[in-house]
Amino acid sequence: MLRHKTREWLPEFTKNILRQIFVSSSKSATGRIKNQPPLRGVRVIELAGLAPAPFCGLILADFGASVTRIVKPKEDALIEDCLTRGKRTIEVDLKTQQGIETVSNLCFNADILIDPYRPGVLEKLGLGSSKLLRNNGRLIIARITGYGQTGPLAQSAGHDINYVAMSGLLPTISHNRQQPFPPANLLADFAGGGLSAAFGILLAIFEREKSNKGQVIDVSMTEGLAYLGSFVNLTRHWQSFWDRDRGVLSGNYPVYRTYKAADGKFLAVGALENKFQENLFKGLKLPITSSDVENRPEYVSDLLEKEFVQKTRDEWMEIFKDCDACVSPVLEMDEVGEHHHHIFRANFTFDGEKHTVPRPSPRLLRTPAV
Amino acid sequence: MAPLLPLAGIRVIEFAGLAPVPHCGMILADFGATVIKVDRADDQGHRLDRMSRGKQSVAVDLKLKEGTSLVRRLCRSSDVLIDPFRPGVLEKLGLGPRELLADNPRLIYARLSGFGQTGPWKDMAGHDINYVALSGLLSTFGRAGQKPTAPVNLAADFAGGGLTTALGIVMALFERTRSGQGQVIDTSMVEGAAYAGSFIHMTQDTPLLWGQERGNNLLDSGAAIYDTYETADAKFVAVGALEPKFHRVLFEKLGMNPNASIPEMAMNPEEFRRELTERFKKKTRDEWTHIFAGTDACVTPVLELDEVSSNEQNKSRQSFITLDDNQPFSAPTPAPRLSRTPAHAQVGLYPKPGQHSTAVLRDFGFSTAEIEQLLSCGAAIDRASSKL
Repeated sequence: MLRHKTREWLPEFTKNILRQIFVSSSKSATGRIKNQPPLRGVRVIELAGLAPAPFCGLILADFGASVTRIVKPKEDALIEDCLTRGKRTIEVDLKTQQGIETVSNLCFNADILIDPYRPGVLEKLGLGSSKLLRNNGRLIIARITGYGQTGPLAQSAGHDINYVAMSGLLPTISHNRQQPFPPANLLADFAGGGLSAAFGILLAIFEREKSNKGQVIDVSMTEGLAYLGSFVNLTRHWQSFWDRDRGVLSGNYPVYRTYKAADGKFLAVGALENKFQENLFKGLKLPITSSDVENRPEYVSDLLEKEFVQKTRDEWMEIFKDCDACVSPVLEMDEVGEHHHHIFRANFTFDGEKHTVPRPSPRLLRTPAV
Repeated sequence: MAPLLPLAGIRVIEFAGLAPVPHCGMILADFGATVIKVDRADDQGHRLDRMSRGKQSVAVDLKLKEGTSLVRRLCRSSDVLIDPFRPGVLEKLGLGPRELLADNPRLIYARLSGFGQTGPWKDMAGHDINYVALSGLLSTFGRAGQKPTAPVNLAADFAGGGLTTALGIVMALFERTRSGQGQVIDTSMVEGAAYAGSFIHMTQDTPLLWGQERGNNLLDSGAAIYDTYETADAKFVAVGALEPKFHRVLFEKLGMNPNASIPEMAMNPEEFRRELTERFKKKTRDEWTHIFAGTDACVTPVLELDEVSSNEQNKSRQSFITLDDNQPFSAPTPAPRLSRTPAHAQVGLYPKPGQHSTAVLRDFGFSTAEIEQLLSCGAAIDRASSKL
């Protein structure tokens, strides 16, 4: 069914591509040279590590930086690093003096160093931040850890789940009702870690244009996530949002949750506003209104559960496709690349039919990612 | 000398909107930008907007021609515009990228929407849950047997939306130092979320990590050594002991066989879970926190929002800013920490809508006569003297 939709959208997709080519070729020759990816020429040294550091390096590489990834010889990692596109990798033995000098020299000529180690490890290797900054005052050193460079937990091991737990957000994320659990390792490792680090690096490199000086960036994944959740923290006394049973974002609010369809797939309903709720109930052919949502939410949830399970997910999407009811399919990972909206926007490429690769975000229209 | 701020001197025009755009503006303000919020003329400011800390507010009636040309003039001498509307809305007001970039080719025009500026779904309404659903990621969030659950509005609104847009803006600002030109940024929260979850997408074919039904994988609550456990006082601890060297410490401290291997655990997963569940129930959360502090067992307390600032790690780093207000309140400190040019979150300084209308217009070179004209026709509303 989705393949049929693909063919429907092809003409517009082609038009879109042609438009982009036409617009970019209408610039002058100088304009075209100027429209390089934003980080072209920026040199990054990424000391290989888990999740957050490679993702930070990936963002920089995607937006044009030259990223050199340094791996230890015979490194036995839990899993292979899949975030290596656009980077070049060299093997350096940091247990040898030669290895240390190699890295030191690379940092002398680099703009950014990404450090994924526990605090003090680089210092012990003779690659401490003060030393590196003395050699190259313009260097920006991003030190990515779970708990930060200081504090009683600075030397403790941890993973995403621990950092989310320390941020204060885990009970809210788990809707305060069940055994809490974070959304895979998205929030601390990637949002509060890699993405936050990339942001800090960009701030520093922009600031450096004025000051001509680098600096150290202390990226604590716990803090990155807590900051990301500022809204949640700052509005935590808003009962309308966060009340365990009736809050809009409580996870069980009848018009803001997922519903199972006949084929075991799910739909996401995000109809917060009355006008969208009206369209939702119309599409479901249910004689209820927004006041039912307010006055008897459990009843509405029940009703919607029973109704959604009558048709398949895609049958429902056919019904809701042209009406503003804030209903969308919960796409599975192995089908996400085939959705017509994603095809139009060219949001995913395929890694040899193995898995989808998301396109870099956001889109800078004049100087896009590589 | 006052510490430098990375975005000092950068002027941002932020149209009032929902969660992601205020968050983006807040980040920029925290890091030194002058952020001017364009509030709706009819917004009386009954609800205190804590995301507007450190921003200035101009109240404008965009239904009036004088109102839109006021905003157009502000954009002429600004660096960044943040657009929260559906594609085409600003164009209809004569404030589209074509006009504003012609006025000011250095402008960075950041458009933040759910589905993006183009595509068959661009005009559809939606919220965070819809965007995470479309990114593919929502299908991986949730315990076995339960419905997929989005992490409130963190994944799309804030990670894929606010923070991603802030990143794009600073990238464009940096690029502008070389080219002298601004540009349009198209942030789709669907894409931002998917990109942030690149690792999850790209490891779908890694058997160690994925391949089972939701809730039965290593990182989604399928593994006993990577989950939360209830304690004697009905609170929780988080256990993230993925590597053998870490779960060895964990088992030791719990009085279990420290040499249990992953294959053994895989053979009797329920047995392991039961053991861990029973043992953790024997002490309170804070007792466990004390036992595991300073070890490599990857065990941390699951903190509530009301107690984060009193935890010793968070307290030592002042990860949460507390005010000496009437009510004790904590706001997360801006992240990440730049050592030489740190952020400065003006917690406690929340503008009322329209509080700075006159002041901002004056800053932007409007004459007294012009300001009076705009106020009298209702294009701009000044609430500087109004009490909340």
